[in-house]
Amino acid sequence: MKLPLRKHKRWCMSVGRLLIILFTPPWQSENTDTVYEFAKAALEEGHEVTVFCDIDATYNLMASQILADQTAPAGKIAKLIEMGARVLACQESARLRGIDLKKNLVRGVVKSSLGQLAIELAEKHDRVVAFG
Amino acid sequence: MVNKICLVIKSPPYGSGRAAEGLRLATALIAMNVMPHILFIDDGIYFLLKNQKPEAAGLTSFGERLKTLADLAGLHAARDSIAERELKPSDLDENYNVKTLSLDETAELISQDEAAITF
Amino acid sequence: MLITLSKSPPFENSNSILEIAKRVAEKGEKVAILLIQDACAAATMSDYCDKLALNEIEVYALKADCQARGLTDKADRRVKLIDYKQWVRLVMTEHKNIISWTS
Repeated sequence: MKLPLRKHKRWCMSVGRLLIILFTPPWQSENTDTVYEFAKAALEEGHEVTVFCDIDATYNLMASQILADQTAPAGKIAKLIEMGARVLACQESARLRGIDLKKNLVRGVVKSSLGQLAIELAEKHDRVVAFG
Repeated sequence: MVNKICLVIKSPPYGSGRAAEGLRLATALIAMNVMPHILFIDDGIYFLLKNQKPEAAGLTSFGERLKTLADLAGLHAARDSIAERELKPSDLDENYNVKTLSLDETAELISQDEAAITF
Repeated sequence: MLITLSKSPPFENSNSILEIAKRVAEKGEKVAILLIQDACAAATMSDYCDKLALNEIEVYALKADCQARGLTDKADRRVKLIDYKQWVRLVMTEHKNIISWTS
């Protein structure tokens, strides 16, 4: 399928919409780090990036994990948001894990649902890559 | 737009919650009128065995969800994965009407999909 | 078709996807396998690379993950080591079917 040809501000290249789905929690696997680097590269290439955190991946979104003296996975998620990525969290997954959606979500994370993931998957992106 | 999605269930049931999420996502997609391909391969075929009694271990059954998915989207299973595990297609729950596929047919199915996610 | 593997074949049940990849390639579709994370170990296995080369399946490995594991020098010469930007290009512009065999 052809990607929509939209000229990036500085370069002439086609840009697309990339959906990344993350299923794994921080520390147990390399996925959060891989997602960070991959998403960062996609953003730098001018693509629109959405990261959906489902089931245990909602553990990556806890603001309380971000400490000044370490690079926590949650810190990497926060950086992606700063760089323009849209980060969605499955609310039900977070609630089941006792994650306080009001007080302990990394700033900028959008509360979402599996139903929304279905829409994102089916309608809103050109490519989908899943981790975990 | 991603035109066709394949949810590949390759983890066995109960031991990890991974594949259960794949089934939930399948349900969510169908609710949005999007029919995914649902493929059971490798250890995922254990989801389809008859005579499962998860309550014996205090676990939740997938029976109802699988039946719904079978009726609405259809379930596919890789024949090789069944044989490799010393099982037969007749060991699968007939209520699911599973369509068993050869490797060629599995490849054909996946080639149609623009995104495949494993669970 | 781009297939991403993140767990070390041939130990982690990735034989099925290899068999599927071969059949898709046989039909003339461009198939590539990208090895990331622990799957980078396969980049050093000549038997594994032989199988893929025989079926004209391109093999890529994420350079950063090979470097992390000290495997860069041991990678088979047929494996193309790529960075994150090249991975993005593979996904966004070079392949239409993206298979995430990462669980």
